[in-house]
Amino acid sequence: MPSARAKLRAVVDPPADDVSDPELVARALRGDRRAEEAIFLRHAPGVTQMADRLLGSETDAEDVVQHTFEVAFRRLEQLDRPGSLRAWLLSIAVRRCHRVFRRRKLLRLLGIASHPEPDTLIDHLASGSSPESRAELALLDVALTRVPEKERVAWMLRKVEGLSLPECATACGCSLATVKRRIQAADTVVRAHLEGSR
Amino acid sequence: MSAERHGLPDRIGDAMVARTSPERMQRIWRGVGGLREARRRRRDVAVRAGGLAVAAAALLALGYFGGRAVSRDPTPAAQTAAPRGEIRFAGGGALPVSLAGERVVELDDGSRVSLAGARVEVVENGADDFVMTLHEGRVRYAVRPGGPRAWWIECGLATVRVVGTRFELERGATSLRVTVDEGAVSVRSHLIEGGVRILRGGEEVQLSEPVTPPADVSVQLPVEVEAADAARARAMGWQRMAERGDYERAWRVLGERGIAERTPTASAAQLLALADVARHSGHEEAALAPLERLLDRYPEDPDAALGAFTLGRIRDRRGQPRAAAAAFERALALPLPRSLVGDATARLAQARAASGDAAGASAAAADYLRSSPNGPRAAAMRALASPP
Repeated sequence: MPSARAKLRAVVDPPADDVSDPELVARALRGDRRAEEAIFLRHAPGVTQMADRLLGSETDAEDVVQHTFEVAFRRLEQLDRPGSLRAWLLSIAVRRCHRVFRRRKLLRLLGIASHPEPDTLIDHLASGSSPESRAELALLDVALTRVPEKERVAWMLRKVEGLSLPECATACGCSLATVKRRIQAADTVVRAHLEGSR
Repeated sequence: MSAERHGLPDRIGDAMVARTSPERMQRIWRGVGGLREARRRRRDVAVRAGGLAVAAAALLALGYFGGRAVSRDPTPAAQTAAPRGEIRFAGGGALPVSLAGERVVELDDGSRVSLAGARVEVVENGADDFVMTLHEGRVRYAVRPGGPRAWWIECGLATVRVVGTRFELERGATSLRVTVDEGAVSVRSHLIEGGVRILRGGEEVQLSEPVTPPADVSVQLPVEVEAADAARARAMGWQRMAERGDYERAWRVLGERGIAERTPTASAAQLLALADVARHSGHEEAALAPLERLLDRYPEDPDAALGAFTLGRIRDRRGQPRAAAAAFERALALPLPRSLVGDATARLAQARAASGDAAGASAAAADYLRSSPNGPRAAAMRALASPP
């Protein structure tokens, strides 16, 4: 078990890329700490990126990612299909993000909004991006504020993070049909906004 | 969608920067380790408590306790089945959403919340998180260490995250004061440099909503002021880096000049942090000024003794035994943690000896031997206590 001061050795000595997720999961279940580190190193950046963009707050995102991996290592034996490790990790993170959203909503309702306005997608845009990209993303940011939370999350997983539809379904904790419906619903709002702005 | 988008790739994330530096990943990994360690401790506590509960139940079954149990639940009628993991009154009653006035609330996880003209609301009450909002007034929290949940107090100007500690919050109309008696809390606020600050026992932070000038009074800032603001912005975050142990980066941000510039106006905690940045990044000499300032300006601060002890060690290493002895004397005169008293006394004896004060060295060595006759430095102290 890593201590609070544990160093991520795999950062300087990364595992071979050809070690598959199922193999790493099997090793981690046998108590191999290097395998846990390798799982973290391979998947934490993706989970962090997703949480950053969904939540718009690096601090909240870090809490979510920490929680995600703590839960994941504790419940690793519950992972039915080790090949879908990424989607499973994202599903834990997405559930936690929803809790953050709920909390923010409630706090706003109570008039206690201690968080500054969350970052938007445009805050994540690479420097040197074209003015067209910047303009598109600014429109998307506005459009997404009009999309209900669950639909927005599904849409972002698909369109921003580039997850496959089955991965989106797993991450959102719903069926393939439901996730398709959510993405479609969000897409309709986004399209309408983009077209209305041209 | 791609048909409508001209500037963005199909996967929009490809146009974005990933904020996943190795330092950040390392920090998150440490956080994962911390959470796992905390859960392991909680499990150990639960196992021990379970054992005790079984023993108590057995005694009760034997009729060992004849009297009736005392309930600290102010609403015994509310004793219904609790949702899994929910915090309740110590006597078992469900917590109401809102608490106000002057009252002390004892909770079944061993924590206590004392309200003084305050109004709080329980926003979330689950197995992992307990979230309260503080609307107004003063509240003293004694959160049981190793409890099963993370506590979060939302106070408007800041979010206070707690693991186990004693602290007080006081919220005014546009201000917030956080005072920690014991343990540590993290205070997150956009009003804090770097966004987050760890407060430890004896530390306090006061936050106030900045006063916004009326919209019709626009003030053109002089160029020098803008330049100063830019410099401040560049330096933002050094404390956060120091709190996370990233002293090298903090030093690169601050440099010797940055430390010298901040020393005259820094708080006690900041002075210690500045000294830590200098010491742990290999620039020990730059730590002297913040530590001297800490002792001059904040002698009453709980960390002043640690500052004096550290100063003594640096002076000693730099071949300045007289100054080292003075610093160790200072440390011993202040409330130094008991675990360091023996070491400080021995160092004092050696520094005095090195500066030619044989009588003083002998006296300090004798002090050491009185309190630690079998201590790790006893042999060296015996030699100093009774010189040939």
